[in-house]
Parts: sequence; structure tokens; C-alpha cells
Amino acid sequence: MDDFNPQQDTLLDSALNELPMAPLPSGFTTQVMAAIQAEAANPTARTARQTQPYPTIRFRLQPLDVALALFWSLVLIVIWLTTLWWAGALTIDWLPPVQANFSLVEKLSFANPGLLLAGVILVILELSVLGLVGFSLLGERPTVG
Amino acid sequence: MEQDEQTLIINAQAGDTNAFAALVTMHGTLVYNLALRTLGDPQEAEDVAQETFVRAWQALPGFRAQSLLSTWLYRITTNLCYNRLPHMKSELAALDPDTEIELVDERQTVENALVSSELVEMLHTAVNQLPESYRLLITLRHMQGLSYAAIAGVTQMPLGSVKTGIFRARQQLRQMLTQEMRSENG
Repeated sequence: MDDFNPQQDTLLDSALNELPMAPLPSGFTTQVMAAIQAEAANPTARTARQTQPYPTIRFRLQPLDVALALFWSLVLIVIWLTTLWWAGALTIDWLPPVQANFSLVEKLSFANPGLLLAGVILVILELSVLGLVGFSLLGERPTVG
Repeated sequence: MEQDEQTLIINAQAGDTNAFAALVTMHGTLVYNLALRTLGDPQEAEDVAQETFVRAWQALPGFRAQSLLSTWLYRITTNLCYNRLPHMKSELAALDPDTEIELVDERQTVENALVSSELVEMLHTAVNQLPESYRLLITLRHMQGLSYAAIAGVTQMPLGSVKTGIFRARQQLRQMLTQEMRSENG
């Protein structure tokens, strides 16, 4: 397999035992003690160098996140449907004007395309903000160690 | 010396920072070298060594001297190295525990062996070329002088896996050195 005989094998062991040790960086003990004192003063604060090895806070969508999102979506749909039902069931003064302007978007498209475009952009922006807020609330679950 | 360390540990457990600083000075080089050999990067090694002692200070009141302080420190260092190199732990765990491998305690038989500085230098380079998991095992065995059982405790791996790992690491070292010698002679 190789050219090593038992004697050379012994030499290998001997050489392994004699591998040189690197000297301790200067001021190491002082740094350690300073880090300990800093840690004692502020247990949650860690030095930049200590936190550096764990840079990745990974987003992990879990079943609970999906369940919560579905639950709140359902709640919103139920509220919306209930409102529509109530609005239809009750006679409210302001209802006829609202119903008359229900197709406001369609009317705007003929009357002023610029307004419609602005409306669409506004909706997209609003959805983006909602998405970002949702992501920040659901995301960023730090993985420890 | 043993008594001194024991006293320092007791004092440090009572909150004496000077005693702990003395322990850091006492074990710093070995801890740093274990991290350096395993990680291969001086800056990372210094960070790991520093964090090892910070964690040791925090956990020191719970240290019951059932193991040597050095072994306990190596275990913390090894865990921090696992955190940095997660694949290393899975590599070690994947080693087949081969209890048939009989490794003699060669450290006691080679005291008088003459080792040339050239060989040590070649070996130094060869060790650095080993996979991190093998570097960890070889360092614990030869630089820190731990027994196989102690290494198993430090790395939290079965004894058989440790033996297999060291056997294979030595095999790779032999091959690398043979290749190097051949290229030098040829």
C-alpha cells in the first residue's frame, strides 16, 4: 500500500507528537478577561467578532406561520361578507350612494385613465407594504447554534 | 502543579477573576492550538479560543471536576468548532465504528525516536491538508495527548468512530508523506 515500515510508522508518531505549537496571540488573556467583564456588564451584548460567525438569520416558514396567515385571511373574508350581508339586510341612508358608485373604477377608466393608473399603482404599493410588514412579522426566526 | 490548578479552579468558581486569568494563561495555548489546527485560520482560532474561555467562565460554577479542566475546555472548543463547521460533526458521525482496529499507545514507545526537522515540516504541511474532522482527532490525540476514550468524550463520538477516524487520518498522512518522499527522491 505504501512504503512505510513499522519503524517509519513509529517515526510518524514521534513527528506527530513533535508538531510545533503556535504561540498564544499577544494580549490574549487580557482580551478574554475584558470580554468576560463586558459580558457580565451586558449579558445580551456580544462583541462583533463573536457574533460574526453566525451571520445568517435564516427565514424558515413553518406550518404555524401558514396556519396563522390562513386564519387571519379567513377572519377578514368573514368580516367583509358579514358587512356586505348587514349592509344588504339593513336599510341604511348612505347605502344607495355607495351602491351607485360601486363601479367607480370602471367609470374612472373611461373618464380619466390617469386616475385609474394612479389607483392601480396605489393598490400595488399598499399590497407591497402589507407584504413587507407580513414578512417582517412572520420571518426572521434565528437558528441557534 | 495539580494542586495549584485545583486551587485556582476553586477560587475562580468563587468569582476570583485573577484566578481565572491564571487558568486562561495556563490552558490558553492548548485551546488556541486545538482551534487553530481544526479551523486552519488564526483569526477564527483566536475568536473560538476567546469564546471558549468566556463560556467556561459562565459555566465554571457548574464544573464538578469529574473531568480534567483541560478536557472540559477542549470539549467547549470542539463544540464551538462544530458550530463553525457543521459538516465536521456529520463527517465524524459517518465514520464506521470499527472496534477491530487495534491502535497501540504509541506515545510511550517513541520517546527516543529521532525525528528530523524536515519530516516534522513535511508532516505539518500534510496535517494541514487533512479534512477538518481528521485534523481535530489528530490534534486531540497527538498535540493534546488525550486517550481515545477522552477524545470520544470531547468529540461526543463513539469510541469506535474515534479509532476509525484516527486510523484513517494516519493512513492519509502516511500516503501523503510517501508521495512527498518519492517526489523528493525521484
